Order: sequence, then C-alpha cells, then structure tokens
Amino acid sequence: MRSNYWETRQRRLSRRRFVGGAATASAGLAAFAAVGCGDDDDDGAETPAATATSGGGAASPSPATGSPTAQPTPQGKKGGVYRGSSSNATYDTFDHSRSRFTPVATIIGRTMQRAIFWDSFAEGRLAGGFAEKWEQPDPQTVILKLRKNNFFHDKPPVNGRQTKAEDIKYHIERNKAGKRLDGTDDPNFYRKGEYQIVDSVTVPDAETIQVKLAKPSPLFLNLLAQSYEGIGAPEAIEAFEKDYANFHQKMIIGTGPMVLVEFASEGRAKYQRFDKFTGTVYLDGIQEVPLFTDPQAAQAAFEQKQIDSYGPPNIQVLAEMRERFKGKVYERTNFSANPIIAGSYYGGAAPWNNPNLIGAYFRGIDRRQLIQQFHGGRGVISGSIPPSQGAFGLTEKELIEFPGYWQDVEKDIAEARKMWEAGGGPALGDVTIDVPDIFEGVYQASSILTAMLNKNLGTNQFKAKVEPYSTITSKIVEQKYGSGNANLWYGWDTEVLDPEPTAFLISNYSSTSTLNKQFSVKIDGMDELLTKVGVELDIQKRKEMTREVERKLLKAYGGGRIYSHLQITNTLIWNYYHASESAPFSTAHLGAMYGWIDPADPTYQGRPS
Amino acid sequence: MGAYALRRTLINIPVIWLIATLVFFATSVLPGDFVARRIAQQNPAGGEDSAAQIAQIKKDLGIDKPVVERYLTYLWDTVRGDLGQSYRTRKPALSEFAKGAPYTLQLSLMMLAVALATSVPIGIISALRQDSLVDYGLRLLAILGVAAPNFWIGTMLLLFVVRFELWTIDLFNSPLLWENPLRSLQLFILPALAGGFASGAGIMRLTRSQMLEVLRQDYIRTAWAKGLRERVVVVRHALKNAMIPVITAIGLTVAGLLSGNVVFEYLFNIPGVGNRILTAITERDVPVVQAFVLIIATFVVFVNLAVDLLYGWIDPRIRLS
Repeated sequence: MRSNYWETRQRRLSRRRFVGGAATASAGLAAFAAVGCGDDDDDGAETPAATATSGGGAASPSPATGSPTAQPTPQGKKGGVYRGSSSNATYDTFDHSRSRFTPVATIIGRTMQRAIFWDSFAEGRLAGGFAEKWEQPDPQTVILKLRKNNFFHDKPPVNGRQTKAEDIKYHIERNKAGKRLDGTDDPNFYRKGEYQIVDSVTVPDAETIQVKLAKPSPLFLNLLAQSYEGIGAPEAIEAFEKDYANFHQKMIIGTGPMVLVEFASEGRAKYQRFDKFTGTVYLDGIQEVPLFTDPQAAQAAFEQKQIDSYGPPNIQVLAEMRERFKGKVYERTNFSANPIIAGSYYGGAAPWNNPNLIGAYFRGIDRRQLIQQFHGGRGVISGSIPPSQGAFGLTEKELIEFPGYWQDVEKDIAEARKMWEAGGGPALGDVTIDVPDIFEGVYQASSILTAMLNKNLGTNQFKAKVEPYSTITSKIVEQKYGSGNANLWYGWDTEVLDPEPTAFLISNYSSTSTLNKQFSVKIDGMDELLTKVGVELDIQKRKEMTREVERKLLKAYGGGRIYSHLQITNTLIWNYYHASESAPFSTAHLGAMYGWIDPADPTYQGRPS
Repeated sequence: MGAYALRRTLINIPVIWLIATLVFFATSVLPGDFVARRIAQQNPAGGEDSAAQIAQIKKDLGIDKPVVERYLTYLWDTVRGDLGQSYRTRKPALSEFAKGAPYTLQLSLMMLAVALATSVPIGIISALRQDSLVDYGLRLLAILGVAAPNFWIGTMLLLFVVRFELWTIDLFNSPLLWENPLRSLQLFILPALAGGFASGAGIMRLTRSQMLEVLRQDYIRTAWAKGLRERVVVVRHALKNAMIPVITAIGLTVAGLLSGNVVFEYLFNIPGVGNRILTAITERDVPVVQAFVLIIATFVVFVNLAVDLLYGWIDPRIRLS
C-alpha cells in the first residue's frame, strides 16, 4: 500500500483553501449579478469607506442591475519603496492588447486601470476601475459609467489628460478588430476571439459606454477584468504602435497607481506613486531587479533585506529559513499559474478513442507520486478544473472518488493495467511521451514519467522524447497526439487567467468550438450543458453547471485534456512588508494599491536604504 | 615587429570569419528557437492560432527568411559593424555587450589583481624556500586553489558574509566602482577573491616550477658567485627569464577572465557579459549569442597576438621576424 499522500496533505493544506473563501466566493464572483454603489477615491492612509455590496449578490437570479465596487479596508501607512525581483524578465511587447507575457501583465497591473478589476480574488470581488460603475440591465447589454476626475500619467503624447468614455470604446473595438493601425490583421491580438462577443459599442453621453453583446453572456465583465485589459489612451497607441517592441517606459501610460519611470528590458524597473490616482495606494514606489540567476544570491538578498520577499525553490531551504527567521517573516502559499497536464489527445480516431486505452493512461499516471518527485510534495492533484479555480470545481472529497484520483493508488493502478490489456495496449508498440525541453530542464521529467508508466502499466512500451514546445503545439493542432499515433505529451498547460473557468470550458470542450477540433472527444450532453452555462447569469447555477462539466470530463478521462496537478509555491515575506492578497492570477494591481511598509515594525531595522 | 604584427592580424581575419560562421550555424540549429519559446511558454497547449502567431512574430523579427540568406545578411552586417539586434530586448547586440562589459571588466581586473598579487610573489617565495615548511604550506594552498571548484568557494564566501552579517553585499543594485566605490567593493571583492585565488593557483605553480628551473642555470650560479644581492639575482636575472611561460599563462587567464566570468556573475547577480550571454543562450536570443561570442573570440585572438608580441619585449632572443 502506498502512503496516502492526499490524507497527509489535507491536514496541512486544503486543496481549496488557496482560493480562499471558496465557499464564500459566490458573493463576489457574482459581482456582475449584484447591486452596489460607488468606489472609494481615497488616496490617504485613512481607510476608505468601503461600501458593502447590497442586494442579492451571488444569489441574484436575475440579470444584474448595478455594480458592487467595495474595496477592502487595509490600515496601511504611506511611504516606502517595495523591492523585489521580477519573476521572469521576458517581455513580448508593450502593446498589452498584443501581449500574453506575465511580466507585461505585471507592468499593466501597476500602471493601468482596467475598466473593472478583481479587487479580491479570494472573495471574488470585482470593483470599478477606469469605469466607476457598471450594470447589465439585460443579458445582452453592459453599461459602463466612466470614473470622474480620472487622469492619465503625465507623459507625452497624452500629457496627463482626463479620461474619456471613448478610451474604453477604443480599447474594446481595437481588441475586437485585431488589426494594427495600418489595417493589417495581427494574430497576436490574443483576446480577439473573446471580444467577438461584442456586437457594438456606443457612447451615448460623455460618461457612459454601452456595450451590446452578440448573444447573452455573463462572462464579458470577466473579460474586462483580465490581466491585459488595461485601458490606455488612443493617442498613445497611435504614437507607439510601431515601436512597442522596443520596450521604453515612455510607452506605458495609464491611470493606475504607479508610474513607470525607469525600465530596462532585462527586468530592471522603477515605479513611482501616481499622485492623481483615484484609488488607494500606500507605497511611494516599487523597484524591481531581474530575476536572481542563482537562488543563493536571491536568498542572500532577502536575508539582507534588499528584497522584501523570497520564494525558496528548495523545500529544505524553506524549512530552514522558516525556523531561522521565526517571528520575523511570514509565509504566503499559492498555486502556480500554469497547471501541469498529462497531455492532450485527439479522441476522434484510434488509438485514443478507445476508452480502455486512454483510461489506462489516465489512471496509470500517479499524480501524487509526481507531486513528490517534481516538487518535493508541494503540489495538489487537479481535476479538469484546476484547484486555482476551485470555487467552480469539484470538492476534493468528490474528486478522489473518480478513477485516476483514488486514494488507494494501487487499486487504481491495478485497474489501469487491466484496461491497458483489455484495450490492446501491448499491441500499440512504442508509446512516446513528448516532454517539453524547458519542462525537462527543470524536472528531468522524461525518465521519471517513463519509469512510472512502464511500472504501473506493466510494460516497457513508454518512451520519452524531449521536444520544444513549438513542436508539441504543432502536434496538438495537427491532431498528432492520437489519430493513428500512439503518443502523448506531459508538461505545463496554459496559464489560468480567469478565476472562472466557464469561458475556457466552452472554448475547449464545446464541439462547435474550433479549438475543440484538436480533441474531438464526444461526450453525451456536453454541448447542451456548455450552451446553458454560457448564458447563465446566476453564478450559483453556473457553478453547479461547471462542476457537472467537470464530472463529465473526468468520466470521459479528461475529454481530450488530462490534468495532472498544480504546483504550490511558498513565499517568505519580512514582517515589515504587508503584502496584498496573493493568488495564482496576476495580482500586481493589488500589490501596487494595497501593499505597504511599516517602518515601526522591528524587522524593518537594518533594511538597507 | 610592425610587419609581424600586421601579418598576424591579417591571418586572424579568416580565423574570425570561421568563428563567425561556426557560431552562426551552431546557433541556427539550436533546438527550440526564440519565437517558439515565446509562444509556448505562455500558451503551451497551443491552439489553432499558434502557427499564425509564430509566423507573425518571425516576420517582425526578420527571421522568416532562408538560413543562407540570413547568413549572408549576417556576414555583411558584421563587416559593417552591425552585430544585430537582440530578439529579447530589441536593442543592438553591441549595446547589450557594452552594458555588460564594465561589470565584467571590473570583476576581471580585480580578479587579475588578486591573482597576480598572490601568485607571482608566492611562486617566487616557494621556489626560493624549496622543500621548507613555507614551501609545503604554499603548495598546499595552490593545490587547494586548483582543486576546489571556484563556484563552491564563491558560494561559501557569500554565505559566510551573509550568515555572520559582516557587511551588506549589494546584490540588488550591483554598483560599479565609479558609481559607489564602497558598495561596489563590498560586492565585487568576494568573487574577485574566489576567482583570483583559483586563477592564481595555476600561475603560482607555474611561477614556482619556472623559477626552480632558472635558479639552477649556470648564469644564475655566476650571478651568485659575482656576489650580487639576492634581490638583483632573483628579480633581474631569474624572474625575467622565468616569466615567459608565466606570461603566456597570464595572457590566457586574462582572456578567460574577460570572456565572461559566467560562474561568478551568475552567483553574485552581476549583470556582466557572462550573465547576459547565459540568459541569451537560455532564451535563444541568437543575435546576442552570435555577437558576444564573436567579440569574445576576437578579443582572445588579439590577446594571444599581444602575448606573442610581449615575448619579444621580454626576451630579445626571441626574434619575431
């Protein structure tokens, strides 16, 4: 009998605890279904008068008629500069509508306001940003009200002008069109597909933006709140569109809490507080240096308080530091943004249209063992909805009832072996597992995976091949994982950007979606369910539906995508720095607004200037 | 001498062309190109748009052309002094090198100073006191320097200073000597000691063996017999003759140091040439890798030429013509 990983982990760490308030998340994730009132405009250390959401909140079954814009009530002190290292100093473009690089999202989060934003991921609360209020009077209409007295940073060509309703209109229309100013299509407008939900945008008066949706959708507000949806000024885009890849601080002009004053693309950046910012902000600035190439250097910098937080990559180092700095530092635990999946496959043809074969692989992957071997135990098993979107997924209690997740791993594996035989697995010949080169570089996964699968399925057919992601991506698109090929892949999946999985589920598992062609696994009732969830405005009902989707997917052995697990990261933070909420999504905007430094804290002593 | 230098310089041109060609084709066949990494890292599961996105980015970067065409363009640009533009930062590769060079130069000079200040005198003393306790002690130190991995020494020094809170090592700002002398020294002294000790150990052993050989020569015995002072015998007669192989070793050390102290820049978060080339390789930033390797290779070639010319100056018996 193998050790019961799940039970031991449960004591220390609930799979759902990370999304904090999963049980209460309904209140906020239904932000668009709730009734509320204005945002704060506090700029001082005083606590803003938070306005609680009123009305039925999540439970409201009818289309939303108002906007909750409450903010938390941190008792911060003004002043101080937060210092950290960039988590990954690679940038694709400073045109945030054409970016999907997390470091760019970090810059956007600090310097720009989205129309609306996630004010708390844990509570699932949206708040007004560039738009102060919003309402969805009917399922196909969203009305945004422009924030008053809101200004852009004072950089040419915008020169600190006041915001206009047309700025939001321009942002939505540009993303929907997916074209550069010269009229050429650019496939790197990554959210273009999602913006096709928009039928028209009008500005009936100077403070109002009316968005008509092509079909009823509860998800448009989620889209506006995503990491890359900062609202810029049209004149800045016109001035810089051709040069956005040259990464200069002059190009980042927003209305957010911080002004980017210095930038070097190896990851060195300086921000200063924007004094005209309309919301809460405590820090005088933020300084960022490139990711420390060596963990020892990062640790040394943290110990000497040159950086205010540090995530030891090694669990023994973490334990040692916890002990050594007991009472001086606190710890934040978080899910990583990218789930690890045991691959995707084409299920429209042999061999992976055989449930016995794909089921054998699904169950032959020992997720708990991989968490131990890859991350020293710092991870949690994942169903088809990753734990980072836990409020919409199955509870751990239910998840471990599904094959592939049983607590009795040996029994699961015994079943997998029978299925492999019954499905004619031995006749397949070599089964190649493609492992992305960058994943292999971190985990040496190929030998671990093949040894595990060969042992668990009682064969020696599994071989690994290290491939660049581009090759793997091409193979996915060309349906080469399946459709006559007995191969699969294992590695990081796409970053989870939205606390709600509904849009992702529709785009991946609805047979009418173009993306689904690469999986083509037919699941009874799935299309009907996804159609319903896509128009359901009641968040509670939507959650029930997404859980039902997950159940169907798990019964279909992933339905084309086999999830493995999610890594957990631990960050140590000096007591003097009061960090904002952490979440597996881009939280840079929360850090810029709600993070603060307490010079009166004893640990502040010795922090170099 | 002038004709010799010119001839050697001309011979070096095809050497540099060969290096440039090798580097170009080697980096062109590296698995996992820059664009693929860009796209895949953020959206590994891909999607039907990925191919179009990759094509667009390649077009923007100008790497959608056939490899031969890119090679010819690369050669022509190199001749004109244009070493390309970083895919990652979109800045000229030459300016990327220029940004890193001051850090590497400072670190290298400090290492060299440590290496020379310790190795040559110790080598001489060890030779003069052959088989004494001093000699054994110094030789042990030299063997330790050669045997101990320099990254280990560096890490130990870093941990020692941090754990015992001896001083603040400014890993956040990495100041240069002319920006903040004290903070700069507090940072650079540790890799300089670790690297200098390791580099110097070999030079020390070579100095000792060369000195021992020279000290046994007839002309040294004659010098002693003439009643010359020890300092004159050692410095003027022995050391100068013993230094020729040592200078070769120092020259190679200098080339090695300046070509990027990858390990120490990595360990101490110093944004020098070594650290940058490591990032460029990891990120498949091909123009930066090509430019850095070409510059470093050219530098090494000319350091070797300088060392050859130096022989003639040290020892007139060596006729370069």
